[in-house]
Amino acid sequence: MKLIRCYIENFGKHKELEYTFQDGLNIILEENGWGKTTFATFIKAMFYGLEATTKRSLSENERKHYLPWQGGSFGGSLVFEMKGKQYRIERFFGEKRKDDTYRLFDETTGLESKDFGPCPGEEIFGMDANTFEHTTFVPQNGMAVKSSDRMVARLNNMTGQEENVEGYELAVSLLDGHMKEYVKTGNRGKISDLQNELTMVNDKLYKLQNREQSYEELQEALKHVDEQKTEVTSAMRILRQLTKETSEYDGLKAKKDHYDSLVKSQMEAKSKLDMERLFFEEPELASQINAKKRDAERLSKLEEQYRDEEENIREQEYKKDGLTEQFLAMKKPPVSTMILLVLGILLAALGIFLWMEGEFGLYVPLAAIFVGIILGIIGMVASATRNTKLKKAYDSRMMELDALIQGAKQMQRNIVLEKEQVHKSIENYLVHFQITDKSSFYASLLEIEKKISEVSTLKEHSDEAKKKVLEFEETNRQEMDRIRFLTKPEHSLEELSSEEQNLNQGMVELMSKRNELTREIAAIQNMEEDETDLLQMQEHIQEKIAEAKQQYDLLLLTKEFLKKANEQYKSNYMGTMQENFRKNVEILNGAMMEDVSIDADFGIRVRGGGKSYSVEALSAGYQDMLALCTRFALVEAMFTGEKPFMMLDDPLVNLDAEKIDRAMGFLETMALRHQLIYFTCHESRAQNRGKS
Amino acid sequence: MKIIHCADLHLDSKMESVLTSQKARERKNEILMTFLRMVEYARKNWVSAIIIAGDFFDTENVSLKVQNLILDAIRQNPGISFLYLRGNHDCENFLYTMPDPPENLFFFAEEWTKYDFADVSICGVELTKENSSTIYESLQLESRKKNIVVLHGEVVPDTSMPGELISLKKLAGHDIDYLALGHLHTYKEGTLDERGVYVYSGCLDGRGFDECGEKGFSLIEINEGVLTHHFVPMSSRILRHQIVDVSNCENTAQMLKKVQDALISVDSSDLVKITFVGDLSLDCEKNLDLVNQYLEQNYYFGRCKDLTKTVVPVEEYRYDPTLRGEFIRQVLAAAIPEDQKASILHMGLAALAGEDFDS
Repeated sequence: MKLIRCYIENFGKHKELEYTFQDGLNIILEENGWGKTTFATFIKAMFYGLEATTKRSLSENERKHYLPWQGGSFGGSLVFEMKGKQYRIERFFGEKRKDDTYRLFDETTGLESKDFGPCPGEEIFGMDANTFEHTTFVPQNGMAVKSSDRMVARLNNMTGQEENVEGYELAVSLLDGHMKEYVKTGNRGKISDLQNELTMVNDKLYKLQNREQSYEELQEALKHVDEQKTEVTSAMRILRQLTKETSEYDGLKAKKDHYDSLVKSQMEAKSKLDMERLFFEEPELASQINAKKRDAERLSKLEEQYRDEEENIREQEYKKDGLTEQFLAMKKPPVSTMILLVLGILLAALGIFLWMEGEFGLYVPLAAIFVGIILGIIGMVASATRNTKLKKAYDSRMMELDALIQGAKQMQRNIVLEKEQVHKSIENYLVHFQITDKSSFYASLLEIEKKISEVSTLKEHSDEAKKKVLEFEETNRQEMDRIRFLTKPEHSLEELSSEEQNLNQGMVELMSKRNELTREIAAIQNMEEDETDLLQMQEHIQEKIAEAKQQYDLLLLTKEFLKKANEQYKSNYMGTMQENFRKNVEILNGAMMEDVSIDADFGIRVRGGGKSYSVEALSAGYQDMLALCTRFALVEAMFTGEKPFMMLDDPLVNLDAEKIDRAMGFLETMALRHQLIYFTCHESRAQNRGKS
Repeated sequence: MKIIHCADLHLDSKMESVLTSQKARERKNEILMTFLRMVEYARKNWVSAIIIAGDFFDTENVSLKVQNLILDAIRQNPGISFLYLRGNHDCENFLYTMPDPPENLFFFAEEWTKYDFADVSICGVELTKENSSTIYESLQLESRKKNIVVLHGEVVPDTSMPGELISLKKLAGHDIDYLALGHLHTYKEGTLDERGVYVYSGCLDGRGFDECGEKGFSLIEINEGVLTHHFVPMSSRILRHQIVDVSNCENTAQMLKKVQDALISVDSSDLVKITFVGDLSLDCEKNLDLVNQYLEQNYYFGRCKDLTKTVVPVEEYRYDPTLRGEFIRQVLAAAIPEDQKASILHMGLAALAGEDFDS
């Protein structure tokens, strides 16, 4: 097809612009800013309309961008020829797409034609506006061809309705979207979520199956802890009591001491009283005592009497002794008697001596002896006779004295007897009072009397002491047990405080343990899931994971198959593209360039040194030239039948003079096959070429 | 006299794995409640004994909750005798190991154990490899009584094979009026001999889609010397498995219509499983998620499984120059299972068409 002419009523800066196209190369030489892009866009808009968009930016909203600056009807007309028939498109645009108008006329008949719909570009070129723009419109600095599905579809000679257009990239995007549901970066996605869920279930199951203590053991442990708590509580209670008691000890001790002393006093008083009253509280005791006192007095008298008799006896004895002395004294031979006796003895002795001497014969000694003996005998007889008289007198007196003595002794014996009786009586009586001191019964009896009187005193004392005790007990009624049984604390307050701290700590630990046990028990009791439930869940999740993985694998496989198919699909047209590209390069270069090629994505590769480089390794000029070759190769591959026009917005701007010349020559060659509309502001491009 | 014969309760055991955890838990509790309802039925209908012909449980670790419920149910009904014969899944569970089991709970053993209830004798033995061949000779029953024999295992007409199989032939002629069996989870009855019948009560409530249909117990009645029995449905829900042929369906709506037709008489409280079979074209728009959603919304539980075959007109795509054609050729030529091919084709073509698909 080819463009015939166009009329721009108002479009961007263009107003009432008319242009007639020629076959082949049409060079439009205008200054920069004339509106070349506007012109190209108008052509496109005639075939495709302006897109409906709500984008606000001018760069993104063509409608706003090309709204006539000067106002007026926004649009124009375009006459083109298709398969030998000329058509005229009249299209005007409103602010919104619904306000746009479109009419197609048969240029020959002037009648409206229904040969094409409101988007004739799609029907004529078999591509959407975007693809059209990227193929037939060659912008100044965007010559590199970007592959699109539609291009590829087109390259594979796919024509048809919109719904048949292949969407490889969309398909991949959809598959990726589904795959991401299963596996996302950062360990997310359905599979990951399921695995996390499985881990949780496995953890619960593990805990359930391997719990250290069974439910019963936990209960037992809890019971034990409670028992320990009770013990500790009890111990704390005791400890507090001990602490209280210890702190009160001194005060209580004083009280106890006092109480003890009162009790002791009371007991002593009572003891004394009891002891005394045992014997000294009989009602007739006083009269008995009086009787015994009289007996004691009697005893004293008897003793006195006895002493008197004793005195008497002593006196008589004295007399007797005196008498005896006298007798003995008188009994002594008088001196004469003694002289006789001595002479007698001497004479006897002399006689003996003389006898022994024998000097005086026998008679002298014998006479001496005889005389001596006679003298002695005379003396002795005299003495004896005296003594006999004395003795007789002595004996008589002695007998008198003895009789007195005996009488006295008898008296004494009687006294002793009586004394014994009385003594015994008193003694026996006093024995009851456990008085064994016999030294003074009277004193004892007085003592008893005293004790009798003491008993009442003791009773008073005892009563008084008891009263004091009772008063004390009454006053200290509440503390009495403590006072009574007060013992010295075994521990000091510091020790007790330390112990209390230990117990508190122990209690804290027990409470913590209890809470832990309670939690574990509650966890078991309140567990929604038991082992069977968890095993069920485990199995269920495992199956879901397997399903998810299988589905993910299927998606991956699908994507791989699609990719493979797409590569195969692309390779179908690559042969043609490569050939066209090489030919164009040959035309442009004047010779084959073995070291350049294009790939399935229309990227230009340059080989050098055994390696393949992107075209960006070359200069901008060469890049543009090769990009131009690609463009034409693409268009030729895409349009195997009716060749479309191409609009080029000075694509040679980066070329030097030599290359421009070559490039222009190339374009002229291309113009033999395509209607080219070439926009430039450089005279050099237009020289001797089909300028307008 | 009335006696309940039930079996294969499998209380507190796992459910069908396809159920969600919550539903599985609910079903487990429902099955437990079914047992309690059976006991309640027994109480209200003056049932004298409940025979549990095996597989009361299938785990040692019966949860405390279930233990208490079972024991409570037994103890609260002292007028009902519970006769428990262990099956191949029963272990040394808590009923056997507890020191003081309820007085109205009776056990069978590996030798014939008999319990007499007036003119009715209930006799049972737990089959083992060791006794499976000797039990027949040692079975002694009084012909004047109504004799109920309890066994758990698979019946065979006759067997000389060792194992826990029950020979009907060898049991015939032993004055058995009613052979109360457990092991099969579906109700089944048949003639034992001139005198008696054999009955599998089936399980009390279904746990998976291999236990579809009405479930319950067999109620034995002995009146004036005549023994009769009939099935009493007791399950809280019914599991249904429908195979739906969706051949030639072009879209999910059509498939769904077929599902609705297949489930027209199914109660919304039931559990349903749909298996799609048949041949579907490549272009069939098939959204199983939608079908599952429909089932979930209209029934207590529903799931569908796709066993359809995707028919790919290979010749049609042999020369299809489109990417779609290339893709189909690639997939068909791949050495992968057919069902995977179908899924890949379905997803890939939907993706190429820019349409969403269930995955």
